[in-house]
Amino acid sequence: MRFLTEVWRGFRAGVPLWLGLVPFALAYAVMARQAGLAALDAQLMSVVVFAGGAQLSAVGLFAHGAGGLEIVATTLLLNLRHVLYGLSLSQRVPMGGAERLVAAHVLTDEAFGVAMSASEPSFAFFLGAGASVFVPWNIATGAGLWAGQLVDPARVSADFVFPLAFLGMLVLLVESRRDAVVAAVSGGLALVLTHILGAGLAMLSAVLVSTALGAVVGPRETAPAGGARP
Amino acid sequence: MSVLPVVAGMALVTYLCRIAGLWMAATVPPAVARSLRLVPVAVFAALAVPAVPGPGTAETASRVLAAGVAVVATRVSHRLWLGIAVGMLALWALR
Repeated sequence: MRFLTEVWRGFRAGVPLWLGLVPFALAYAVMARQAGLAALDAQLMSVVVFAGGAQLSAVGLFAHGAGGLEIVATTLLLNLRHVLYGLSLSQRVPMGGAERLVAAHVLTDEAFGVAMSASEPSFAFFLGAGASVFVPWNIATGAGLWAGQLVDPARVSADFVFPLAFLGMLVLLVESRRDAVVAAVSGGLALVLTHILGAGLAMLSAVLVSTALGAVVGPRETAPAGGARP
Repeated sequence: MSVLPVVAGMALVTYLCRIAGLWMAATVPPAVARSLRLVPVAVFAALAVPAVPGPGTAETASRVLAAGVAVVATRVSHRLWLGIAVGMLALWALR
């Protein structure tokens, strides 16, 4: 009984984030259709991959005809930050082996943020927070896929949602001058290289060059305790 | 291209990233942590910028302008959905 109470407490703690999650999932669904993905494949991705940034990137790369390996490599690169989340989380939330295996699938930016800002989060609490992201994410994916059939994507320039969604997430992420420089270098490089290397390779090279640059250039500020931002 | 193997590959690498940190009890060198934290910023920029001009040249000017409006709207409101909505409305109004 105490377990369920804790799950429910975690679930409720995640509810305020739905306002950000739902439009994000809708944008993903619209872009997945735009890229020509079958509705079932797009929904499956929301269930088994369950990583917003990687899913949006993947459908964008599908639309530009990138190869499967490039898409998987981009996913890996984007989700490496979860290693940091896991390290911080395992110090804060006591978990057994089997519990870790389950918790891993629902470890997202949002659930991590909720757990790290909660008082005494337990495994059950984290599971609830994870479910509070998983459920609306998948329902909104389904709703977006269904609603996407109702409009002609070309007539409304639906492909423009793609750069808008990423520019928006970028704007919300940029906190320091270092972030802004990395974004400008990465965006500029990608723009130039796309015509030479193709979308997938251009993106990977732009990201590797700009993040390496960002890590070595400028003042050596120390990373905040507790790892990454949510 | 077949989509299912790609989805399976994505799911595998994502899960590996998630379980890796939970399983280990280690600390990461600050330089590595710093460059990892920059990855989303770099990825989002690399995906967004080349997609702004669009496939043809007919709408390029409108799209660049609408994207600028969307960036300002997001910066001011701190709401992703509002930025997307304002950007789409600006594009429809401009083209």
